[in-house]
Amino acid sequence: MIKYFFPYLFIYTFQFSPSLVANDLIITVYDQNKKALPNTVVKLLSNNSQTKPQPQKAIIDQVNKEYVPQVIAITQGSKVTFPNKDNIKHHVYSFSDAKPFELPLYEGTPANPVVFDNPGIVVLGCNIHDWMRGYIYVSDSPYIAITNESGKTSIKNFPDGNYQLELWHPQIKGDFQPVDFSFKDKSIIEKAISITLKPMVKIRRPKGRHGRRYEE
Amino acid sequence: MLFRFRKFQTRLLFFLVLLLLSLQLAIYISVRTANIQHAKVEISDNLKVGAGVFNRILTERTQNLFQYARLLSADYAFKPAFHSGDHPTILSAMENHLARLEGAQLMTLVDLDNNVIAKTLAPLQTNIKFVWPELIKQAEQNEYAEATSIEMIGDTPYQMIVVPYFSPDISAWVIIGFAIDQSVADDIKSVIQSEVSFLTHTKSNDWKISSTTLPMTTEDYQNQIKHLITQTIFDKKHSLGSIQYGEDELITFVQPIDKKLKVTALLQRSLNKALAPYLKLQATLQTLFWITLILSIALVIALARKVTKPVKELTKSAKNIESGNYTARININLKDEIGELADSFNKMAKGLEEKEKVRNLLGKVVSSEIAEELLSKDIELGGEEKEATILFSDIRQFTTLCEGYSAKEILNVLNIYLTSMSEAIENNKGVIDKYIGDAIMALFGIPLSNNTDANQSVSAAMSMIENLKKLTEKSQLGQLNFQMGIGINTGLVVAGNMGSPNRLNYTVIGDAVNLASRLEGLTKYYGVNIIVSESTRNRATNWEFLELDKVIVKGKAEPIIIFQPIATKGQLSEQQTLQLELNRKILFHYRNREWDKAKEVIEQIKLYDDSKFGQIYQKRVDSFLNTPPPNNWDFSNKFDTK
Ligand SMILES: [Cu+2]
Repeated sequence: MIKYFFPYLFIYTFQFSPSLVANDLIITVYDQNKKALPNTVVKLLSNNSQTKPQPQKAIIDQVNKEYVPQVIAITQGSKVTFPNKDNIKHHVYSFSDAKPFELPLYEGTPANPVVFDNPGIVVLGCNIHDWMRGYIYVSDSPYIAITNESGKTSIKNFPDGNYQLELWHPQIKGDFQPVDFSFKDKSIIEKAISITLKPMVKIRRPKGRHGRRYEE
Repeated sequence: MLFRFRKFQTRLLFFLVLLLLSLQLAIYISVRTANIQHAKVEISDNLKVGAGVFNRILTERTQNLFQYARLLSADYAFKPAFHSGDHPTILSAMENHLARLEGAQLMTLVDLDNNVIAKTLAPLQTNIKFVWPELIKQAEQNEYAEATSIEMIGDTPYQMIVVPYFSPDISAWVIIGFAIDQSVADDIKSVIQSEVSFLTHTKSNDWKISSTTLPMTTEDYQNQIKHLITQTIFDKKHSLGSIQYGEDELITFVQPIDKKLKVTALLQRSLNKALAPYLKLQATLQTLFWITLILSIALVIALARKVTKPVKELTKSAKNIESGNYTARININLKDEIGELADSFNKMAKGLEEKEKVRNLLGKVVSSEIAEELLSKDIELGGEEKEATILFSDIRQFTTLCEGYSAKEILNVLNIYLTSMSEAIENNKGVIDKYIGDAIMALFGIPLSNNTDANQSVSAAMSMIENLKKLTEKSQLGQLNFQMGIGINTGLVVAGNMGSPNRLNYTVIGDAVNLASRLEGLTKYYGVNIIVSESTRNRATNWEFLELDKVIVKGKAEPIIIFQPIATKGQLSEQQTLQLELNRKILFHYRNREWDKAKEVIEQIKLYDDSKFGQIYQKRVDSFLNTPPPNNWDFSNKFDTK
């Protein structure tokens, strides 16, 4: 669902945490075919602590008529710039509820970054390239990460407490059922989770280049 | 043979026409079969090509819809309208798109929860579910999330396509549809030059024509196509069939349109149209046939005439000969078999003519029966014993009567007399044996025996008397007044050819013949015209007789009873009945020696009888009164003269 809604606002940072206790979650995500799943957003949402996520800066490049990286996870209030590395113009837009905006045809780096104040998923398109698709996960929690090519990522140094683990992937089928975790006394939890993906829908792209896959 | 024709010409004609007809029919059938076969193959090929084109057209239409739908789903200008959530704006934008798209009739936008966002066919409806969720489910299985299917709106099938609406990810579904209706059928017909019909599969498992380029369809036609479609779909074999359409035959190709078999197309071509060039040829063949037929008939008639003309002449001549005209000859100057036949015929006719001449002469010399008898057998001397009746007739005192007349006059009268007598004899199947001057000897039962010879001889004798009476009354015998006597006897005779081998005579001899002659001689004595012997009387059962006497004729030892025929049996006149009764009484009394009583009756009979019977018996009675007969009297009267 596009209209995904996060009720709480937290922020996660990889920098030194003011918290005295530090727990680690190491997580590997697979799809239903036991294949390691990259580009999966992993979020821990605290049930009690009201740690406010710190805004940050992020970049999504446009390289070779693709958004790079395709998926980013940012905290609420972060600023994202969209530098155009191609020698043609792009027209970045979003009709997502979390942040409808457009950057009409431009080249180079726009002067002002876009601020994402509301949590939710923002789907990026390009008006002149149907296949260009980018995803910005705007998190209400500071504890977020994205799986690498091995489907692996970790969230470190978060305080003790009860958390809900949430996963999100552009292709995820239905809503992910949050998993409850309890962290205490520097616990390091390793967890492998598999999620079900929807089939990929192709989108037509001029010949000679690879069409990119995406999901709704 | 079923038919019999009396005329050779008819038969010849019949066989020729039969031959021509069967030949023409064979040609006609083989040419027609080949042409129909060829036309059918050609049509089938055309239809198969047409089916390819048909599929291509439908596919292209569908593809066009897809193309356009994709443009719409990526149309950036539409996105703000879509995200505004304002129903009238969305609908208006959609209608705008639909107007650009020729051939499409509907556009619907459905959200990801199968709710209709906007629908051009029902602009005012909101909060409704999309009626074909299966279509979207099908799209979700597709790699481009696109699908197409046939759906029914009312009775019209629609080709529906669905594409995802990207904003920029799949945010909704765009459905566009076009009706597979009459205009599509007409359109395709103009391209593939075949009749196009669309049939939809109804819920009651029936097939219904939704649109067709055919001007009209009958129930019979519909049943035929239903059958063909059912066969095609369930056998998965015969996609090609032949359907009777009025006078025409439509070669029909069944082309299912969708995989679910909701709609099927029929592509059809007219066999008659394909056969049109052949029909021209057929007309030419027909004309040729009539010309050949007429020429042949004329030829046959001419030929038959040539053959039948001499045959007819032969037949005519043969009929002439059959009816006795042997002089007929055929005049045919042909060197062929018919000419030979005519020659042979003429020779035969000549032979027959000569033979007939001989026969005629013979018939004049002897009687025709004897002539036949002579001609039918080898002539040889000798004879056979037969029973026959012999009649002798004579004119009394002819020589005396002829005194004072010339020989020529006498011969003339005699010929008239003999001709008349002969007629009476021959009319009663008698055969003239010979004429002896004025006397006639005739035979009955010779040469051919029969059981009625005695009766016939009496009939002949009665006729002779009658004829003489007529001749006399008509004065055909001049001033001469003849009295004639006839004697008849039946008995065994020897019949055969008598004489020398060079000159012989078919005749009869024997005692019976002599007795007949003697009886004739007695007629004058008894004053009667006819006397028959007892043997003749016994056999001539058709007649009534008077007994005259018991006599011993000259040269005989045994007495015989003699009779006079007086009338046909059962036709005695009153006077004759009385006469017969008196006659019997006289003989009874006479033979019982009751002379007085006899005399009494004799007086009575004289009143009725003009013969000498009464006279004779009166004399005898008178004589016996003086000198009674001896004790051994056998009532007979002996004659010593001829
Ligand atoms: Cu672009």
